[in-house]
Amino acid sequence: MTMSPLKPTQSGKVEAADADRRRRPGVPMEHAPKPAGASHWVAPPKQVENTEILKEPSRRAMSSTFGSAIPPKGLSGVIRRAAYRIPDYESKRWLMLVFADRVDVLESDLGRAAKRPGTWVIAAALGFGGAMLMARRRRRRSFFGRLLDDMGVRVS
Amino acid sequence: MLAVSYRGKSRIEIASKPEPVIEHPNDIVLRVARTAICGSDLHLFHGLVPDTRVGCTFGHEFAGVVEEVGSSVSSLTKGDRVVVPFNVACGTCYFCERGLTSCCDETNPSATTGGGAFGFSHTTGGYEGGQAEYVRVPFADVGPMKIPEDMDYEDVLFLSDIFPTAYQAAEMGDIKAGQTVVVFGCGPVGLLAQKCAMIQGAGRVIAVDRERYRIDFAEAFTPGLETIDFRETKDVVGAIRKMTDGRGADVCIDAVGCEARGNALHTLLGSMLLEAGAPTGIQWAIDAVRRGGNVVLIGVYGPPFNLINIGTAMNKGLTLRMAQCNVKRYMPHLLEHIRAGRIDPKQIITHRLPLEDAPEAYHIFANKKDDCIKCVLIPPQAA
Repeated sequence: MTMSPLKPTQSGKVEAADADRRRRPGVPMEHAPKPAGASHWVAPPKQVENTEILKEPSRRAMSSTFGSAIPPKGLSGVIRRAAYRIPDYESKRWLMLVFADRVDVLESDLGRAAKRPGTWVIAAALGFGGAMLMARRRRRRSFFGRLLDDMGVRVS
Repeated sequence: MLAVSYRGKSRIEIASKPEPVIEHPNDIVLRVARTAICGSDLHLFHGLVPDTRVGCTFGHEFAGVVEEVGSSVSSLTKGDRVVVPFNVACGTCYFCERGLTSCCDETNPSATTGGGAFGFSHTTGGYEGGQAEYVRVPFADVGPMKIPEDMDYEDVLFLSDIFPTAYQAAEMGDIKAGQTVVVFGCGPVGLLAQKCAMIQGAGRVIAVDRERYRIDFAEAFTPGLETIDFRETKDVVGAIRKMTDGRGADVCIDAVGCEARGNALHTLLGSMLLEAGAPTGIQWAIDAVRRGGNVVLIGVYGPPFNLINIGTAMNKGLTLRMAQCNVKRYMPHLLEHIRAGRIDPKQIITHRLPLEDAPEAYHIFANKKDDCIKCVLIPPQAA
């Protein structure tokens, strides 16, 4: 590629250097077929699928390359798999994916919270408090009430 | 390695992730030297793009140094400095052979709505993005362009997306000498589209935005630009008609996308995802262009649909043109414009932050704080 010398940026009126449409590289937008860049294959080699990749059902074959870093997982993954059974010209496919994204965030946040010891202490405290309340209201009938009775705990 | 990691709507963090590896014979692994936050990254950040998975890394504007090469890579070697188009393209499919690398058929297994792109959800193939210390770049013999020795990363960084996108927008407008072009939006792409319209011979360019600091910047960046601030001018379409003898502009370019402001109904429906973001820019473009004129969409809208005045477009006899940019075919030509001093895209950079501060950078950019126009992130080893 031949290059012109590097010049300082012009100030003032912008030079209409490409007023002639023939100077514009994207005119016409579609050109006669020729390989792009320095591609040197007739058909590109295929990337090996070593993780779960969800494919658009109307595609005839898997693409030659794809991203493999974040495979579907959990409940959001179940929703994504169901969505990818629907062709991309159906609106419900996209709405399911948006919903799966929200579930993914919730799963991620709950998963992180579960890893923090404080979460379990708070959950245990809330659970115990709830059980005490239940016991107080339904002392005679509730399982927790009978359990607390047996343990000799009085809730007034 | 350090990388941006998506956690949920308006939440990202810097996470430690495994370094990418060669997964295909024509892959390279790139050590990122500069990466930018694009306006379309904000659509991901705000949870508007379907199949944006927790833990994914954004970033489709980046340049860096080749760290590792796959067995079939013939045009690059370790140590080369390259800038990478945001499209992932095979170079030989039906679409690539015709110049439509943004429509590549061999790089996106997940949808038929477009080709592969870096860091832009699984809707475009699930590739990890460049807002990281390292990134895997497939089809390295097709996309990346070597950076001339006498140029810096920031001189050419925006050849990865926004400069070609802006140029292609003006080009799709089929601007003829002396015509009037309206560009909706004074964000990074809008600013460059305004200048590209001038380079392609527009007689008048009118920019529309609501952020005073961006309008001021636009007027300084493109001398001769006329502007409309729609915080002050409530009837934008009426104002454009007044400025064009009641006829309307010859070409209107929507450089805003799905987070446009200015129409309460669209803002409400868009925020509730009852349509794929607010298409106010499209609506204004259709209404403000003259009969028989050209409307160009380069703003990003997610699936499945938007409510636009398509009947008006038909009755006015408009030509609607829209596309993700076929970056590769523009790179050499636009590099020449930079070298000739006609345009210096890096002038729009207002913020340079360490990669570790990406969450703050996203919030600054998303909320238009601190007169932000464009944020560039610098990984630790490139600082």
